[in-house]
Amino acid sequence: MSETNGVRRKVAPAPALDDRDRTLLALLAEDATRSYAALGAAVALSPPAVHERVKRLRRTGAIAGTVARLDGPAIGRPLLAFVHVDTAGWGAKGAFLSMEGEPDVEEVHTVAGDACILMKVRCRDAQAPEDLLARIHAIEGIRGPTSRSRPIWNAAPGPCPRTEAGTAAQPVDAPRSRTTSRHRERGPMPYLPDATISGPSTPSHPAHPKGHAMPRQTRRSILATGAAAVLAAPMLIRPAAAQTLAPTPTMRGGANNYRPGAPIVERIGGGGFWTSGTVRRASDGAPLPGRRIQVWAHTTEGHERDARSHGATRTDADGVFRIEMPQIVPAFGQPHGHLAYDADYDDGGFRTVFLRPVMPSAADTTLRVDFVLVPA
Amino acid sequence: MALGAVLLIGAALWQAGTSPLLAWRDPLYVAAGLAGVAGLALLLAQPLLIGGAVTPRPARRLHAMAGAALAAAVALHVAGLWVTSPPDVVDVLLFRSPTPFGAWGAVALWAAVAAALLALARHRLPPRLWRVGHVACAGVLVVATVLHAWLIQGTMGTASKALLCVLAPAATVWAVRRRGTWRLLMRPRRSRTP
Repeated sequence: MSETNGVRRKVAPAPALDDRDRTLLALLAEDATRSYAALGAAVALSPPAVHERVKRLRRTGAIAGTVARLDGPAIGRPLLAFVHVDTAGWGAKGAFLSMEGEPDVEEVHTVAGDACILMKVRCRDAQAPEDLLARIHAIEGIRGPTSRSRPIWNAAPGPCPRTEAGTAAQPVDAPRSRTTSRHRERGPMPYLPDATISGPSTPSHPAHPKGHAMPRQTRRSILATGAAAVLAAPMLIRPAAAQTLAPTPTMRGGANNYRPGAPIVERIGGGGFWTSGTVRRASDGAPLPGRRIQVWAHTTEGHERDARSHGATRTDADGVFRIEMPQIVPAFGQPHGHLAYDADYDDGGFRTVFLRPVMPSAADTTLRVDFVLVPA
Repeated sequence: MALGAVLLIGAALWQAGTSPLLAWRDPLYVAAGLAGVAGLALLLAQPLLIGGAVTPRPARRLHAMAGAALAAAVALHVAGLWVTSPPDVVDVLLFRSPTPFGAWGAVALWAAVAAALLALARHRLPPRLWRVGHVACAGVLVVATVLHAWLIQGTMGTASKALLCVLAPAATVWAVRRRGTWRLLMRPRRSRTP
């Protein structure tokens, strides 16, 4: 039943973790390629018993996934930096979260405190963040003389060799080998003074209170500094474009009774049943806003082939779609829905996907389906 | 035995005919579903008829008439579903349906067609080919239909479906043994020359 993979299963509430679970999680977090035999030896269990536990940990979500930890410099992105961004209000949040699609942006977090948004970026060279910064400034809510656009480059030690450029920030002993760097990360992170820079139209700001006062710098000089001093706790490195999501394949029968160009509607028929999900990009999992998704099914109000059983909606800024429709009832032997992402009726750029998720139970009143799209 | 089978078949049809799912289906889709239920029910009746469970002797004429009804039920089932959702039926017939029961339905369809064609042509066939062929097709038909029906979430009641799915193959095995069809598979004994 690989066709139902797109359906999010009902997950039982996660049972409490016992000591063995915690030990296993610690070992796997260190090295996910350990054999079940080796894990079993550590927790005094047989390999099959460990396998069962690990499967359970995956099922309950304690292990959210297993990814390769890439080395930034080794894949040509030696420059790691954290960008603090102040926004004028919540309005810019959605636009910012969509910046996760930028190839340079590794993580975007909304945070409480001085900055509204914290971005972790990993770039090819010192010029790349400059361009990124320009795009940040272009986002509404950041622009304007009154908005306190104040990216701060926060240096952290890492394995990257220093260059001669770096003199402004405190020099950091950047360990060159992974083993030594790993030891460093376990210790306290040396706190480096934040450097404050001014955007093109922003008033100057005092230096970050925790750092000692820095001479005012131009953005370019800060970036040069970043290139020099910064870099990278290699633990949990997830360089953008490295975390890959498996693309959602078209399911057999997914396109049956599809109606190309079905209109975007507030709701299909009388409603009462919710179909929702996310649309993301395969390369890095970035949410895709504004994507058109068509939904249809055999419901209490009509057959699949009927036009009134079809409707489309678009994903919001977070790549989430949600559409109300009549209750899906079993037809052709299974309670199932149909969803389509059709490149011909969208901005394009991604390959068309047709899905036919089967509901775990005919009594369900919701259906959750996630799309992971591949660039065309 | 015959009375029990009639009661079971009646109960199965009644339950399917009063299913709440029918409220959301077109009349043709309803008819197609009920034709499928009737077909499964006939697969219980057929071996009982030809095995001689209903009448003192094998009821060959009744068996033939029920066979014609079965063929009609299969035709109505497929045609009704075709009109209701053509691409789904095309997928099933091409063995590319996403539903696990779809392929079994297609197998059962072709087994039914083969069994019916053999029955129509039996006077022109060698007797042994006709008997063995017809029984083999019927066996495939019964097994495939049971798997097809059991995997479907449809209008049938669980209990009546389970009973039919157990009793139809059981009755088929019983009839084959009773009629001694398996003996035809053996080599004919050479008549001794005096």
